Amino acid sequence: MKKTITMLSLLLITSLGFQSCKNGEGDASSSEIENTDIVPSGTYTGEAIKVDPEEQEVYLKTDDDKTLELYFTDQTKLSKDGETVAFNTLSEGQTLQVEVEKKGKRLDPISVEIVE
Amino acid sequence: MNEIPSMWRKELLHPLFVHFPIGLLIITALVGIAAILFRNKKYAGKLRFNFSLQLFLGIILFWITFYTGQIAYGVEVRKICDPTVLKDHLYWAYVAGYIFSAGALIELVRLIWRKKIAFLLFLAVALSVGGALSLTYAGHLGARVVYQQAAGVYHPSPDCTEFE
Repeated sequence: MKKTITMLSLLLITSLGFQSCKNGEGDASSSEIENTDIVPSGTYTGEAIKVDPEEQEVYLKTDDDKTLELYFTDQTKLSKDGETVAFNTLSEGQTLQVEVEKKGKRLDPISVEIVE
Repeated sequence: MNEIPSMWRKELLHPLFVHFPIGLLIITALVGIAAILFRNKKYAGKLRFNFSLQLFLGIILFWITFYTGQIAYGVEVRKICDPTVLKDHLYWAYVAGYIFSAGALIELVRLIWRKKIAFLLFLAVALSVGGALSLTYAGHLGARVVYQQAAGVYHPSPDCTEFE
C-alpha cells in the first residue's frame, strides 16, 4: 500500500510540476489578459503592452484606452519603416499602427506597422 | 477538390484525451458522496479506495488534457468566430483543475497520515464536488466551441466529392 501511495504521490507531483513549468514559460493562455475589447474593423494606433512570441500574439492599448488582443495569422503583414520584419522585432512599449478586420468577435490583424 | 485533412493534427490531441478526465472526475465526486453516505456500511472502504484511485488517475489525465488544450487553443483561437467562449472554457478548466488538485492533495495527506479523520474525507469530497461542477461547466463551454463554432472540425464540400 505504501508503494502505491508513493507512486501516486510522485505521479501527482510530477503532473502538477509539469503544469507549473508550463505556466512558468509564460505560455499561452495561462497569462492571458482577461479584459480585452472588440472593436469595429479599421486602423488603430497604440502601445504594445504585451508581446507573446510563442503564441505570436500582441496586446495593444489603443489611444482611446481599448485593449485589443491580436493573434497573428499567416496573412498578417508586420513591417517597420516600410520593410517586412519578423515577429521577434516586436517588443513591449513599441507604438504600433494596426489594421484589423472584425470577424464575429474575433479581430484579425491584417497589417501591423511598428511606428517607433 | 478539397483534401480531407489528416486526423494527426496537434489540435486534435485535446479531444483524444478530454473525455477521460471528464468521466473519471465527475464519477469521482459521485463515488465520494457515496463514500460519505454509506460510511458505516461494510463496503465503505472499497468506496473510499475507489474515490482515491479515480481522483488521482483523473487529476493526472486532467493536466495532460489541459496541456493538449493549450496546444489546441493556439490554433483554434485564430479560427473561431467568438474566442471569448474559448477563453471562458480555458478559465473554467483552470478552476476545475485547481479545485481537484487541492482535493487530491488533501486525499493524499489523508492516505499518508493513515488516521481516520472524517473531516479530511469530507473536505476532499467537497472539493471534488466543486471541481465536478466547474468541470461540467467547462465541458459545456467546450461543447459550445465545437458544436456552435466548429472548432477543430472540417467542413466537407457541399457535394462531398473529396470522400469519393
